[in-house]
Parts: sequence; C-alpha cells; structure tokens
Amino acid sequence: MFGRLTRLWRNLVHRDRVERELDDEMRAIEALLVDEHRQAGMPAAEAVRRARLALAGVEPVKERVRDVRAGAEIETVTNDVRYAVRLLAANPGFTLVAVLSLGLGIGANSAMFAVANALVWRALPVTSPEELHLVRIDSRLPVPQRFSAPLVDDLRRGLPDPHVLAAMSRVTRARLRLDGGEPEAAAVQLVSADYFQVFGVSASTGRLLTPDDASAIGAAPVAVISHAFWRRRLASQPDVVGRELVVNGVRLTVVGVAAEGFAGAWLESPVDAWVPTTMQADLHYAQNFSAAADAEPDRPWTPQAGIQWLDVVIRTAAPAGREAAALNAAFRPHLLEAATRIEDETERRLAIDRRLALQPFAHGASNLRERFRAPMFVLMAMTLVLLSIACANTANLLLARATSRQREMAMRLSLGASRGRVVRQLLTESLILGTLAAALGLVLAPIASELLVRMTVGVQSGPLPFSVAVDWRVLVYTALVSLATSALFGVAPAWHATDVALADALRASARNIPRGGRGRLSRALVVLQVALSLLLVVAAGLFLRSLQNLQAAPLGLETTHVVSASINPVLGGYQPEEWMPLYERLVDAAEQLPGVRSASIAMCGLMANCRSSVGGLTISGYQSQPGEEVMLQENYVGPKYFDTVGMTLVEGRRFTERDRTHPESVAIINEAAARRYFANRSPIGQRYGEDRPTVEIVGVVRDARVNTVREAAVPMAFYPIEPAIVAGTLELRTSGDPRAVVAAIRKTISQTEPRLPVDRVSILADQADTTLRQDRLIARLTALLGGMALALACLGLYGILSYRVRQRTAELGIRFALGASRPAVLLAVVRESLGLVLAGLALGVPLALGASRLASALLYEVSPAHPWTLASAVIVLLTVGAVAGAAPAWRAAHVDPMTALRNE
Amino acid sequence: MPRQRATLLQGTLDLLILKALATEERHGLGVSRRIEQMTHGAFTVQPGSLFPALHRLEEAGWLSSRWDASENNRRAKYYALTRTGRKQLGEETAQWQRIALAMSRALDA
Repeated sequence: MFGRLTRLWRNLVHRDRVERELDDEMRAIEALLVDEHRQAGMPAAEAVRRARLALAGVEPVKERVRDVRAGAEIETVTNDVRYAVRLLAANPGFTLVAVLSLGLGIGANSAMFAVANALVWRALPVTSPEELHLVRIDSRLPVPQRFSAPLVDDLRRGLPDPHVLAAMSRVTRARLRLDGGEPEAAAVQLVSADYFQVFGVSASTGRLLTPDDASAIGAAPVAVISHAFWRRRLASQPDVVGRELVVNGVRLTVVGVAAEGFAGAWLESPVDAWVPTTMQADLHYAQNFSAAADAEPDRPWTPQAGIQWLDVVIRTAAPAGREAAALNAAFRPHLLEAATRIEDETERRLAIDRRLALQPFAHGASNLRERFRAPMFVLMAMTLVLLSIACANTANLLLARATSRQREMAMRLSLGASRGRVVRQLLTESLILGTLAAALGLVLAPIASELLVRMTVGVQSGPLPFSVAVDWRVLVYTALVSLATSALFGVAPAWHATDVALADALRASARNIPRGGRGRLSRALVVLQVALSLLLVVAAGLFLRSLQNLQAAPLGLETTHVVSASINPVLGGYQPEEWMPLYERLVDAAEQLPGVRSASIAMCGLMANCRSSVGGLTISGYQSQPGEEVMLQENYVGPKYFDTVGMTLVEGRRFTERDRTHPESVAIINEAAARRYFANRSPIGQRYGEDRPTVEIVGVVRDARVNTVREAAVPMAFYPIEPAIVAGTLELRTSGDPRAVVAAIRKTISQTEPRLPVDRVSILADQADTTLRQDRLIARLTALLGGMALALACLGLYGILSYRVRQRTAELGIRFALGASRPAVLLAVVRESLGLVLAGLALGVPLALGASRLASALLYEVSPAHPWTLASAVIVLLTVGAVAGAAPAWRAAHVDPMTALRNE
Repeated sequence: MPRQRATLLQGTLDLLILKALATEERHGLGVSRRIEQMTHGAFTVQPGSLFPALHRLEEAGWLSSRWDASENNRRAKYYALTRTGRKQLGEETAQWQRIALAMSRALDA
C-alpha cells in the first residue's frame, strides 16, 4: 500500500523525471536493437529502419506504458481539464454564448424545481412527518370537511391513545398590538392543547400549550409564538415569556416560542401566534364554518356541535389501522343521530354513508399547491423544452468548432491517441461547460424562484410565506440536469469530431474538409430548435390570449367607478346593537364626499375571497334530484347596493325602505339562480327557505362575477342587510376620478369612526385584476420563455448559415466571376434559411397542437388549436428565419471574387 | 521463415516475464529474447505489450529496476525479481501447472 502511494506521488509530482526515464528506456532499447541487427551484418541505415519498425512507433508504446502507471487516471483527467479550460478561454465568445444560454436554461429549471420542491415535495419540519394524517370525511356527496369541537372531543375519547389527535382552526389575520404600538396584522391560529405534541414540535423557549390552557372557555389568555415572529418582531429577546400581546383587543400572555422553522401546517400562511381554541369567543375569532340549523355563531363555538370549523390531524404509523376504526366507531353515533332528522329515505341513506379516512399530511396543507400544481408542471415542461433548445444550440456551436478542429483531431489520432481518449477529452470540455452553466444556474435559481413565489402569492416585500431556498434536492436536480445536458450537447459533436478519415483530413486544406454527417446533423439540430421554439411560442400565444379573454370578460359590474373599502366593526369593538347605526353613518359620510354618487354597505366585498353559501334549501315548485345540493351563494346588502356596484335589475323590484322592517322575508336572486331553479317560470313572488319556504323573491338581477374574474356567476341570492350581519365592505360609486375617492374615504372614516379598522381600499377594477395574478404570471413567464427560445433559434440559424456561407466563399467567388447575379445568391441563402424553418414548422405544428391540448385546462375560452395563435407563431418564426438569414445572405452576395480566389 | 504463432492467454505474459527474470536480471529486449528462447519461438512479445507489462509489474512491486551498462557498453534499464516477485512466480507457476494438468486431462478424456 505504502509502495503504491510513493509511486503515485512520484508519477504525479515528479512527472518530468518519470517521462524522461521512459524516454531514455525506449531510446536504449532502440539502440540495443540496432546493435543486434548490425551484428547480424546489416547495413547501418537498414538496421535503424528495422529497429524502428520492430518498435512499431515509440510514441504508442509510451502511451500504453503511461496508461498502466499508478495515477494514470488522475493524470489524464487533470490534463484534459487543463487543456479544456485553455481552449474555452481561447474562445471567449463561444464560451460566453454557451454558458449563458445553458446557464439561463438550467437556472430556469432549477428555479421551477425549487418552487415545486417547496410546494409539493418538502415535508413539514416536524418529527416523523410521514405519520401525520388529516382526518377527512369520505362521502358520495360533497360534504364540508370540518368538525365541531364537541365532535373532536368524542373522536378523541374513542381512540386507544387520545394524545395522538389534535384540532386546529384556519389561519386568519388578526389585529395585533405590541407594547401599545400601532396595530398591525398577524396570522393567528386556534389550536387544541395537544397540537404541538401531536405535530412533534418542541419549544425553543418557555413552554407550549397544556391541557390546563383549554380547561374552560376563556380560561387561559395565552399564546405560543413562532420562532420567525419572535425573531422578526421581538428581536429574539430572551425574556419573551410573560410578555403581552394584544390580539383583537384581548390581552394574551406569551408562554413560549415554538421550535425554529415550524410555522404551522399551512404552507402559504405561516402562523405568528397559536392560541387555545377555547379563546375563540374572547378573540372575536371568525372564519368560514358550516352551520347546522341550531348554530349560534355569536356565542362561543367550542361547546356547539352545530358549528363545524376545525381541521383534525392524527399521528399514526398505520393509516388503515385501529385508529381509523376507532375514529369511525366514534363518528357513527353522530351520523345516525343527524340522520334521524332527515325525512327522505334516499337522502338519509346518503347522509349515513360517510366514513372517516386518513389522508397523508406530511406536507401540510396548501391552497397554493392545489391551485398552482397544474401551471407549475406546465412551466416545468416549458423550461425543460427551453433547455433542450439551448442544448441543441450548444451542440451546434460545438459541431462547428469540431469541424475547424478536425485537422487537430486527425493529428492526435495519427500520433497514437486512441479514439476513446480523444472523445474523452472533448467530453471533458462539455462537462466543464455544463459545470459552469450549472454554477450560473445555481446563482440565478434562488433569485428567480423567490421572484416566482412573490408574483404567485402577491407579496412584494417582507418575508416569503415559505422558503424556496436551494436545498440538497435542488442541488441534486441541478447536478443531474447539467450532467444530462452536457451529455446531450457533447456526445454527438465529440463523435463527429473524431470521425475523420485520417489521410484525407491531413491532406485536405481548410476549405474542402469532408462534410457529410456534420452538415446533416447540424441542420437537424436547427430544425429541432425551430420546432421546439414554435412549441413555446404557441404556448405563450395561447396563455396571452387566455389572459386577454379574462381581462375582457364581462363581469356584469361597473369596475372603473366603484371603490371598495373593507371594514371590520367586530375588531373595532362595536357591539351588535351599534352595527346598523354605524352602517348608516358610514353610507351618509361617504355620500357627502365630492365625486361619490352613491354608497352601500354589504356583508361580502367583490372579488374579495368572501363567499357565504347556504345549502339544503327548499324551493317552491322545484323538485331536487336525490343527492343534489340545492344551494345559493348569498350576500347581505344595503338599499342602494345594485346601483352602486352596477348590477342591473332585469325583473321585479329593488329593496325598499319597507323591506328593512321585515328583512328576512325578501330576496333578490340573480339570473343564474332563476335559470337553475325557475326554468320556464317567473321567479317573482316565488318562495324558498331552509326548512319552509319563507323568503319571497322580489327581483332578479343580471349575472355578475362576484368571486373571481374566471368564475362564472353561480346561483345567488341577496338579502337586505340586517342588524345581526357583520358588514365587511363599504362600496362607493364615483362620478369623477376614483383615485381621489380612495384617499378621501380612508381619511373620512378615520376622522368620523376612529375605532373602525379599514383594511384595504381599492378600485374594483384593480381588485378584479388581483384574481388574475396567476394567469398573468403564467402568460408573462411563457412569453419570456418563448422569447428566449426565439433568440436561441435565431442564433442557431444564424450560426449554421454563416458557417455555410464561409464554407462556400470560393465557390461563390467563382460563380460571381462567371456572371452569377448577386440577388440570386442572396435569395438562395435566405431560401435555405426559410427551408430550415419550414422543416422545423412541419415538425413543430403537430407537436404544438398535441402539447397545447395538455394545457387546455389552464386556458380561458381559448381552444388549444386556436388557428390565429398558431398562424401568428408560424409568421413569427418565418420572420426569425428571414432575419437570421439576412446577414449571412448579405455577406454571401458581397463576396469579392478576387479575394475568394486568392485564398485558394 | 514462417513461424507458428500462438496467442498469449490473459495473464500468461506476466508469468513469462517473471520466469524470464528468474535466473538473472535483464533489460527489456533481453526479456523479450529470453521469452522467445524459452518457448522455442512460439511466443514473440511485441514492445507494445512488453513495456506496459514491465512497468505494471514494477508498480505492483514484483520487479525492481536499475540503470546499468549492457554487454556492448550501452546504458540500459535492467529489471530483476524482488522477493515478492519471486513468491508470486512460485504461486503463479503452481497455479498454471494445476490448470495445464486439468486441461490436458480434460482434452485426453
């Protein structure tokens, strides 16, 4: 072992001496052979000749000796690397183009992967995340997937080990005051006392929640804060335990800080503070819930079986094991009890036919994941296509270079290098290019992925909701991608470069190097580039058109002259009996403002992610199908609401002052509801209700998209606002510049109602636009990718055409000398360029048609085979072909016959 | 003069080189001539195979080398068996004889 190491040292470090010795040895042997022949009586010259012949070339023998020496591998690799680096440095233009195009491609891929990694593959930072499961209700009907607190207690009691089950609310924004400072928004989640134990999260400071914290309603005004919040807002102060947070006006004591890195189970909503569920009523905590008929949302939720609002998480290694069975055993009595209230036989059977199932929860929950999954994979596919184009481009550049190096290759091969050895040398160059590109990609990826997440969730500054940092998965992916890339663009050129008929290449002058394979291969690569570019350009066109359609979609609302201010009387500390007078004061104050035509209050704002629905309705004269959920989205609105937001009444009447005395008895529905539930009859005067038909329909308004721009109007009902309803928005119709009203309304409210928090004031058109964030993101990204693809295709075309022109300089010279016209030559080159583009289009059009079908779910009112988009893409690529061909064509047409011939 | 050429089996060359150096140290050409002599001209070792093998065996520690004057006063690199080389020769010889015996029995059967 030791001996081998010293030899390795000698071979690698004292290489000169070792080489000299080998040389001496070969020389000595040759001399000995000559002596032998001379002694046999040969003339001197003949003896030398025979000796050399016997050795069959000293250099190949030496090369083979070198190959068996210790450290031969290392030596070869370092030599190759040194040589490759020298070559790349000698061609800075080539190296720059290759590294930039590949680096951008790899960076885009790694960025997309980093986002996918964070969204889809990275597990929660807790112990054994694979054991966490979300409890879901399996049913043949769409049922609300939330649980009431008493049901959670029953489920827990049914378990063999009750300490594996935890309940949690959604993460909602609350108003937080720290040390009497300005109020700010904080993300708060209500959790059961064993939440942290079940998730396997420890405290980094202080303690976590205990069963005592949830012993009675309002008993424990305590909070556990997240490590990130502690660092961000409290400067990691060590004496944080015992500090006071004022959340929604309630004083809470911080008892501890959760472990670093844990911010709850909702990926895009990192939690700042966790509070026991028993504090719900004290905190005025409200979120979406499903309510039974006996629910009283104004009273504490934890003792009410009628308010379903909690998500349930269980820790178990066997999701189909005894825990699941125990949960279902505890769930069954609840189902049977609820079923006794249902009269219809079919409905009852459907209601009982529900089971609890455990769904893996290792990755936590994420709306973004569900929404962004499909676009993400489309974008990933597109970045891969872009990288393929960059690969083809680099391969072509390498091919061109290989041709100019063919004489060097021939020389090396004839001097005793094996073909494998030379191919290895060339592949080393490719790998170095790939590595440089990967390094560039890794620099770009974190920047790009952060930008991507910011654009997706609409957070311009401040901390990202979740980290998209480069972790080992991203590193491995980048390494694999760049390795595959290097192999893709490197192997074919290396093989071609070494494929030389030795004698031919040595004899040949630089001009008439045998063409054959190289020309065909590089033309094929350009055709492939054009085809793939068409794919990306078509995709970009489709997504842009889809975005245009969305932006032009008729909302059924007046968007440019409506200003919305979101308000929260509950957080302002207004008591329920103060609400109606507050609403009147707000509307009056707003209508006093110059430039405001009318104003109205409403429960739900427009395009504001506020959606309240009521199901299980009985509608007079409408026979529902078994299992059909008869439901309406609902909103409670002030008297001038429809005129303010621009909804047109098509039938019946508006709400009147008289309706305010009997607010629960009248409704105005939209056309979608009229179509669905009152086909072929007038809805005016018809009645409906939850148990009995008590609500009379007095009017029908035109359909409007109230939730998002993309979502067509669903059946909907409007009721007059009533004293028990919390208004979330104040809508204003302006006659002049809405921007002036935006500033004025905020000022007015802060003067007249200083207690009332005003969250967001925006013009409806802008608010509608935020619901198109994802569509705009995809359209922009695909446009960017398409543009990059076009640039690369243009570069590829230009490269091959100018190479061909250079190759034919002499021929062109002769032609001109013989009287060929310059326009004809110019046309010939442009024709060749367009020919390549046409071949690419022939391949690309079916490819694009097939691929865009896969993305059709993401498109809005655009057929994947949209003829105009396809035609425009084809025209764009033909233009690119003409542009790329222009410079080489001009050069070809201006070849000077004398110069060309003199070079001969 | 046409000669009966036999193909060298894998591993045979190493054994032949070790054997050629068993009696005295030799330079590369000497090893080649000795092998021809030992095999009555059945094997001619080409330089392209001989020298890599010599260097490999030296790196394995079975041969040692030194520069010395040759019979007609030329400087040449002389190879000699080391102690481990001699042990290796013994082992490989025994092994080869077992194989040869087994092969000839098999072919006679």
